[in-house]
Amino acid sequence: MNRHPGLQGILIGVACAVGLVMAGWADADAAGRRGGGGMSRSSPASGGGMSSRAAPQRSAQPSTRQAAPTQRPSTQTSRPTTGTERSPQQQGSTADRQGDRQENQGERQGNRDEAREDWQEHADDAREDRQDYYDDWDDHYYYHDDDWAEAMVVGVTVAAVAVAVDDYDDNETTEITNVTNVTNVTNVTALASLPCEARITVVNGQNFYQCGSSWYTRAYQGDAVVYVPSGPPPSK
Amino acid sequence: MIHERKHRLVRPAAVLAVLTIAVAVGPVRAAEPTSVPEASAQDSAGRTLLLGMAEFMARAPAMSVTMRSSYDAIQADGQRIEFGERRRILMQRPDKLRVDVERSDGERGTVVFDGRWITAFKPAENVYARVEKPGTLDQALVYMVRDLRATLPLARMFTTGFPVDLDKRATSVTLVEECSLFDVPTDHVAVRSAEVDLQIWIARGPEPLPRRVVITYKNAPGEPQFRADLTHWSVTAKLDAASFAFVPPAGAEQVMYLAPRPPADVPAGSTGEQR
Repeated sequence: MNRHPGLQGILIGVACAVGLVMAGWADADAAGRRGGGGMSRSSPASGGGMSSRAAPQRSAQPSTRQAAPTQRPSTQTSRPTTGTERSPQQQGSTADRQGDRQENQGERQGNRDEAREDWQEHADDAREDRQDYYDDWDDHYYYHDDDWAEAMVVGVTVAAVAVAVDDYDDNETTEITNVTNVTNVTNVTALASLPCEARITVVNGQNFYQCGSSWYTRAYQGDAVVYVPSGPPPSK
Repeated sequence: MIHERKHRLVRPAAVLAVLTIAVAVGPVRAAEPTSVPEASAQDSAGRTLLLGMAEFMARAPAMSVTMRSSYDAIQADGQRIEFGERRRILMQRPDKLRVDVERSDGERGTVVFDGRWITAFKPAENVYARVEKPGTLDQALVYMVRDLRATLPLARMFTTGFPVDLDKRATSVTLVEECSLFDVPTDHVAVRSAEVDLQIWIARGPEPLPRRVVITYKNAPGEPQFRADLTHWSVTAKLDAASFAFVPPAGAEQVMYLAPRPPADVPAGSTGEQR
């Protein structure tokens, strides 16, 4: 019946191959067309900034700053010693006492100068830090990933605020507007992805993700959506 | 025998060639001091073009542009990988901005500043976050890039402080050549600063806008580059107000906006001076 069994086999093979390729494309699309190469997108060049400091290089400076306080107590303890030394010398010449005073004044002046220099150095460093922070504001890479360990919340959700207000006086959440901005200095630990296949509960339009006894909500960090630990949804 | 003969012939020829080069290079080196004024004139012309572009951009009441950019990500093993992004940027002074971005992996996002609120939106997740930051576009750009860590390449270029800033940072400026490969003739200007090497191709004519920017991060390991082609420029008096109004799509969830803690010496929430 079939005059070209070989050709039929080839056609079936091609159809299967096309099907597999299509399935692969669908999977790739479902994954947001991300590659599987595990390549890092992180780069000092990613932000296209016009400033770029190589790396923070002030690690040695705190030890210099700390030198001043440790020097000061030793200076203070030297004063009583000088005082006790003076009493047996009270019968000595005025010139000697003046010499001592001048020496002590000189020592104190030297210590004050040193302390002033240390403080000046510290102030200069701080000013330099602030100036760098302002001048190099587009240095996207300088204060990089590690800083996210100490993130702070600068904008919160309507739902979260709405829940708080609802607790007070049963107002409709839709009536709440423009009350969403806070600066919360609490540290937040953000996760790039959830640690499990989470169960999602939606309350007041906000998604809560449950992994065992832990709950998470979504947040915006940099250019990405991340997950932050939260309590259970308000109704729980 | 033949090879030996060739060697004998080559050696005097090589010596002659070296001598010829030495003689040729000698006068050039000797003449270097006299060529300095010419180089200075080139530098001066380059700086004039550069600052002319910056002044034009700083004075523009509104601008829109498409930025097709790429950058090198140096991997742990030293391999150089290029990633790409495309942005449509709309900005209107004093206080409006909209940036729509698509990354090379298909991820999309939008950032809108309406003069009071900064809103970031991710359509794939249908999630948005807002932070209140009333102020100028300059202040919003600084806040977005520095404090929120939003990726807005060449953000400095869109501030009014760009001319002063560029003039301060540029330790040398050289006019490389006139380039004819863009839609309009451009001047290729090379800029060096302590931190980056910058190349800009500036359109000739009444609208001296950048057509291409290449930044080399020479202090970073592997010296990665950022490259951007800037097309579809429009410098108008005013853009459509609706572009700067963010209306959350149906079912969009508003989430927290996180920012890294600033350095210890900088007060939280400080916008700092605009330069």
